[in-house]
Amino acid sequence: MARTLLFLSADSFHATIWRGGRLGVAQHFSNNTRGREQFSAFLKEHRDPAYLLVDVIEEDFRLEIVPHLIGPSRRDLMARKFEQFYRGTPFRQARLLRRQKEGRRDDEMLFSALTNPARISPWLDALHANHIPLVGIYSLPNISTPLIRNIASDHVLLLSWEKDAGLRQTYFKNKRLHFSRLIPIGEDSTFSESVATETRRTQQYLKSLSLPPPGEMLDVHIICHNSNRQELQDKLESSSDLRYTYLDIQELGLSVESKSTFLDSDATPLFLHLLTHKPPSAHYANLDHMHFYVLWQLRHIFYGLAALILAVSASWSGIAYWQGRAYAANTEPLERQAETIRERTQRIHRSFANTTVPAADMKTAVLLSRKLDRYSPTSEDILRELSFALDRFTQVKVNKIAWHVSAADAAPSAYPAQVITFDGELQGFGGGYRKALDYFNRFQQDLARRGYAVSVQSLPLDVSSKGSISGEITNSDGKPAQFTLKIVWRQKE
Amino acid sequence: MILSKADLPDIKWSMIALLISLVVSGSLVSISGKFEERALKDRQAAQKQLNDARDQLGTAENDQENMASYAMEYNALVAQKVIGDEQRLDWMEGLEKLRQQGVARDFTYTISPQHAYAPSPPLDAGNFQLNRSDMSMQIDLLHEEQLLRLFGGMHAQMAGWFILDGCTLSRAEAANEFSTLKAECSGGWFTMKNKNAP
Repeated sequence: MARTLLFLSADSFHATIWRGGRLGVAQHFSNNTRGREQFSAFLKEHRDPAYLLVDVIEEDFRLEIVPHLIGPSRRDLMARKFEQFYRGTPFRQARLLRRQKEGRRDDEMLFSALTNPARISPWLDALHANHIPLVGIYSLPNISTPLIRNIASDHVLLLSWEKDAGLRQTYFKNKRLHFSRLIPIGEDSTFSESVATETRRTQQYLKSLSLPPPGEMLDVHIICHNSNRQELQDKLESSSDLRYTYLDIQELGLSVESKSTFLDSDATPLFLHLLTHKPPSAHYANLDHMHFYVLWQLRHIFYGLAALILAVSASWSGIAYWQGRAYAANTEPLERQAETIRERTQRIHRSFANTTVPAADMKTAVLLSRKLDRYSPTSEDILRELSFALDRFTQVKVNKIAWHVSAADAAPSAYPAQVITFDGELQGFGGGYRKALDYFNRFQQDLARRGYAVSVQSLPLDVSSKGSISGEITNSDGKPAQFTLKIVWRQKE
Repeated sequence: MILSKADLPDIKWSMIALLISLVVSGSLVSISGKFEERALKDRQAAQKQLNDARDQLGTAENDQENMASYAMEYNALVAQKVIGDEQRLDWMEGLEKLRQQGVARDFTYTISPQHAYAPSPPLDAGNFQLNRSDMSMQIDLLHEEQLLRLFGGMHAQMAGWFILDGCTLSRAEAANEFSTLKAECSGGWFTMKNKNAP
């Protein structure tokens, strides 16, 4: 995806299109009405996300130690500090350098700001008017950190030359940005001469701040083209507390995946590449400046979501369709098989001899009659065993016997039961109650052995605790000992 | 940052795209889901039809083996006039014949109008309408054996199927040399008729 890279220096503003690791030709716009109109026209043609890189003198750095706070308290503290240090500019930021390890464990913060907003605002207005998504406003020192990450030194002074801005000197302590200054290079001076004079001055300034501490080396790393290297080496001489190292701009470009060819020591294209490669999260733009970038992100999230939803649903639908096809493919053989079996069944039905009555009806009638036959057993079947029992127990006299079919008493048989109500009396026991009851019990047990379920409805003599003795055994008065039994006969399975 | 109505033009096409994708995706999922569901149902139905066909074939093969005995029993039921319309004259003549044979000392009977019959527990009657004409009998007997002979005769000699529900057998109140027992029985003449028969 293409990016619009904007570079703003004290005297110059230019835009470059970055696409696939290559920078296009820079288009310069002058800071007047005509220049801004041309910039607007340019933006109408290039609506990609824009990065604004600022390299100006009016950038202030302030080291502060603040209490370690979180949440709204920290936000309020930062707001107070910004109002205290940089009231007049919206382009400000605070970066945590480190948290102290002793005492209150306060935070060491680097506050910085672009102190001349009037230099930036016209170009921002043009971006805003054209609804261009601004990713951020970055200063050159802010984005330099990746270049010194692999340098094994705690005190690094990084020197770079930007053709439209000047010589940039940025001091890093323990790989963290501490201070930066920009020195314009006049027409009467060269890059190597400026490096030679200004490095000593900066070293003096740092010494006044005890940086680096006495005994430690200040490593000066100079970004330069091979063509300038010899000239620089001739003019610069390392000492006991200062050491020069030369960073090949072409190699640095490759390290940030730049496909551009660097023709001289101008590091502007290198920093623009760096911006697209790994832009830092902290920068000078606030949410108002980034309004259209947020909209751009929202737009892309919506498009991404739409694509994702479509892809997922298409995959799901594809699987469901494939599964459905598999089901359909399985269905046809099953139907053919069923049809074949049905034809066989019909052939068998046609082969049945009876021509007037359907075979199914014939079968139904026969099976029904077979079952119904068991619903109504003959009286002989029901009473046979009872009759045999009476032959054995000759002192039991039958007074009345009744039987009826009962579906309610069928269980566990599948067929209705026959319930026999047997009214009888015991004869020939005189006053021998115990003997009579024993005889009666044996009669019941005999019936049970013969397959009947027997329950007593009324005893010849109730000797239980709940009953009242009525003495119905044939006594001296000749009164009969009558009883009633419920006898259930069930079909055998 | 708060989004306002003025921001809508910047994101409207992406929102429309999202909405369209939701609608299209919903439709795709719904259509393919229904297709799969219908195909699954069709397969399940085909599997059920196959199972049913196999069951029917098994039944038919079983019937084929048993058809000879089914036909014989069916024809016997027809001959016994159990299948078809009821034949009350046959029953009256048959009972009169048994009376003349002196199977029981004497008996009277009452046959009620025919009604639909539902066995308990229920039985599958298939294509047949089951009917029953209830009959109650008062029988004078010399001894119990006569009752058994009477029902045996009704079963063996008469056309029809009498289902006996129950009897009450008691000693006659005024026993004499001709009648010592009295029986009151109830039951019904069972017939079944094919619903397709004229």
